[in-house]
Amino acid sequence: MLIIRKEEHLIYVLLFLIINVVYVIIYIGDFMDKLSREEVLHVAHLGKLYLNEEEIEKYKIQLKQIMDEVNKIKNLDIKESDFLVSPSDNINIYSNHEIKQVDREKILSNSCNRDGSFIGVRWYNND
Amino acid sequence: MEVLLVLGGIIMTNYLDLSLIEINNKLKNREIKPIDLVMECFSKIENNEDLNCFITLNKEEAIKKALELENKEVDNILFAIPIAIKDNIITKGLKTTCGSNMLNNFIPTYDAYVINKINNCNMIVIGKTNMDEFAMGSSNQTSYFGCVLNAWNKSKVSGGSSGGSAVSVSSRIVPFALGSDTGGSIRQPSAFNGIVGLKPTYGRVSRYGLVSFASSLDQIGPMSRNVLENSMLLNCIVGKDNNDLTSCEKDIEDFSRLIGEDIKGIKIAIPNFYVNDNINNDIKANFNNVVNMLKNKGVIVDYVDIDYIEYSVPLYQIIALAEASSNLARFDGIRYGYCTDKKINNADELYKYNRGEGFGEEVKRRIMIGSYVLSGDNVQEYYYKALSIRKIISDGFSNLFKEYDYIIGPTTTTLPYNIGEGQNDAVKSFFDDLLTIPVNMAGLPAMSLPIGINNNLPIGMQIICNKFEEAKIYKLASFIEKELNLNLDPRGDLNE
Repeated sequence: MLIIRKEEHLIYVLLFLIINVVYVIIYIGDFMDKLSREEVLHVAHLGKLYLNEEEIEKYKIQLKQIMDEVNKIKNLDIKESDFLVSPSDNINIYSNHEIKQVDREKILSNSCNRDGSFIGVRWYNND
Repeated sequence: MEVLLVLGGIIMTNYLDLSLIEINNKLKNREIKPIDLVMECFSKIENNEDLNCFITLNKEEAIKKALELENKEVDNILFAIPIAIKDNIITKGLKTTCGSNMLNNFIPTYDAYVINKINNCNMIVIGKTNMDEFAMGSSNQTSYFGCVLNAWNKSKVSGGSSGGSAVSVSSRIVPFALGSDTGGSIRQPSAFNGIVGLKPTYGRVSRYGLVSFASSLDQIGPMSRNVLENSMLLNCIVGKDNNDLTSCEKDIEDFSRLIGEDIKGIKIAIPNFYVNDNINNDIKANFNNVVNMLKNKGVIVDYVDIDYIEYSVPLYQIIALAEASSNLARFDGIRYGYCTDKKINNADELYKYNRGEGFGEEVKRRIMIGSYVLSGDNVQEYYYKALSIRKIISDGFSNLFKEYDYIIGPTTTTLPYNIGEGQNDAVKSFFDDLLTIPVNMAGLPAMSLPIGINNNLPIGMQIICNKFEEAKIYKLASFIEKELNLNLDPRGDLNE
């Protein structure tokens, strides 16, 4: 029969606690250095991008690195209320509509799914 | 100068080593023909294939044009001069890829405004230069067509995104190239390769036909061997263009007109941020030598502060990437561009696979960040706030120009680094442009010119002026160039 003395029991409890604290620190640290899979897939969806598994893992870290920089702006207290959207001083004047003749054949030839004089869109159904 | 070299029994000319004025005189006197210049370019391209600075060559058309020009009068300084074009500037009938698999087979159906301008001067397009994919990068390592090697040391990066243009000029394949600059993409590779590169004032050169990255920051500019020749190419490509809403109406001017004028008494500001502790010591030492030389010539130099300039990188990440995510939304692979072979179930999947497979890693990273900062409430928290800081920085520059003629500083924080370095660091490419980004935010003109060499690697400095004062930049740059008398040329020093 295994008999644990009171002092030993205390040591085991302490060890258990330390291991758990370390685990929590590692888990939180890992979380702090990465975006979650869901977050990466969300921004990929916004950008209409397919990502493979390897890319998802890579972007978890890389997007977090960039967001850490970007958040420096978010955290600033700015008094300025004016924006600078463009350095151009030009006033927005729309030009007159003008019909230009283009070479239809040359434009169509840039599409990978040409169908005669149309651009085709490949479409597959599950069934 | 010796004009003929014999390499392995083949006679190879080196007319392109002559100055632009000397070449022009030889053409006028019929001592040489346009075809001699064109053949010399293609011969040099062949000899420097390992630098990987071209994606597409325009050999057949270039030869055809050179032969046509033989019967024409030499009517301007750029007549029959070969030029390389960054591959995000569209060229009718000549493949334009933007360094991306997405546009690997894209043949434009019209010419960019700047291409029409250089055709009007009868310059000859030699080919399209390699670049970071969609101009996103500062080392030319994100190109689908492979890395461009530095003209001075083949184990180092060329800089970017106009790396192919910079190396083609530095290695003396062509006397001129066109680049584009969104956050430093002309100036940084120019500094890394020891050439002169100018980002003109926003609106000075039409962006019509430049594949957009960040529309409020992008600007096309000239890259050349020296300051005077740079001004001559700028003379050619400027002008009001109704096809570009942001193109400015300005009187015709000769940008070289102030070259040679005295600089005594001019006032120069150096932002403290431009000489901070993150700048490489050798770069700072070379820059300080120039500053001391200018002081000795009677120039007044003060150190100043610009509010929020230290936030340039996150500012760029928000504004440039937000605009990029919008601009690159057009690439769906249906009308043109990369198309997946995968079986797809709906339109959304089709877009996602076309874009996911067609774009490279860096571009996808930037599209995702851009989409995020523009989504929902993030527009307020990130994008609008960034635009306010942009206004403060722009006002800061404007206020300085009320008191000073110029702002100067180093172009880069580091010397050209090893190929592959920092590949896993998603923010490194942004910090490479730390000192060049503020200029794009304010739409100012700025030039990088060589000021020294360290361990056989070139060092560049930036000269910034108020809007539409490019002629003043050429004046100071030409003075520094003459005083330093560097005549940097990497040939013979290339690492084998």
